[in-house]
Amino acid sequence: MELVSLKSMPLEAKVGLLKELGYNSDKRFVLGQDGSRTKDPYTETEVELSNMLILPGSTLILDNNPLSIAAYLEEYPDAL
Amino acid sequence: MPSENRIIEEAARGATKGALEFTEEKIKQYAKRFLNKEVGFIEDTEIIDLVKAQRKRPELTFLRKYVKNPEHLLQIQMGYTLRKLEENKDAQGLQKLRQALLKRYGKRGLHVAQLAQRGILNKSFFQVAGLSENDAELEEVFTEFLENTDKYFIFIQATDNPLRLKNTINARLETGMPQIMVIFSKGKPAMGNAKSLVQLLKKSLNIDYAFERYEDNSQQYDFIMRKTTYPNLS
Repeated sequence: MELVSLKSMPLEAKVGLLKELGYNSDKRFVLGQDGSRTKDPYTETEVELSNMLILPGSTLILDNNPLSIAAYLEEYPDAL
Repeated sequence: MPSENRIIEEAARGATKGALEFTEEKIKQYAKRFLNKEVGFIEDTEIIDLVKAQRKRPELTFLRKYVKNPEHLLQIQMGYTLRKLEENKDAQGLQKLRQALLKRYGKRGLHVAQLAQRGILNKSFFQVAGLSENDAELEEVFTEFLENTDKYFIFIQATDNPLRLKNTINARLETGMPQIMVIFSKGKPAMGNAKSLVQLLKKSLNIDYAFERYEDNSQQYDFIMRKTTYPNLS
């Protein structure tokens, strides 16, 4: 799987990508379809645009931290 | 030092390059490829590489055979990650990970991770593994360790009173449970306290326990093991 860095992606492009995937953003946080802030499924952290990962699974939006990544890899060992 | 104008120019160039690279069409293509599981989006590879390296550790491969609770395995992995962050002097990373562990698993889960961070779990597991007869027994012992860390692991501080601790531990060991206990101390004053404590325990325990000590310049592990449970002990 190819991994694309979000670091060089402009804010508008990140928001555009999220919209394509059924999410939204208030330019700081990732928002779900109901407008609520999307939480990392493993740590319950509200995911910010500046620190997010978007990884295949069930369209997983994660916070970029070791616990979430390790938990994700336990679930999808060959994904990264 | 670059002038303010130059910084703004460079930032603008970067933004323009980014905008050109991520056109609306390109974003649509990315989304499509993502849904086909062909692409993922990350900030950088630093944390991913750190996590992947800990997952490959041989001791974790060994533990996967005996530790069946996925939460425990994650806590142990995070302990190894805490150790790496500590080695890298990443104070912010350490703080963030401790908070995340506390939030997800509470004090008990954070404690398991810290035991793994300090190398205490590995030492204890390998100590018990060398004395056990079969895999089923090991699995049972490891699970018990991880679910009741407060019962089996004691941290001795420089400020602790060995005599008072002796009475507490003695009372616990005299009941015959736990059958093994690990006393951990870090730093010379705490290590001295642990040595005094073990001396006091050796003199006062009525049940037949064996004592083993591992120490280096900065930390010390004292294992207290009941001989009837571990007959292979000398």
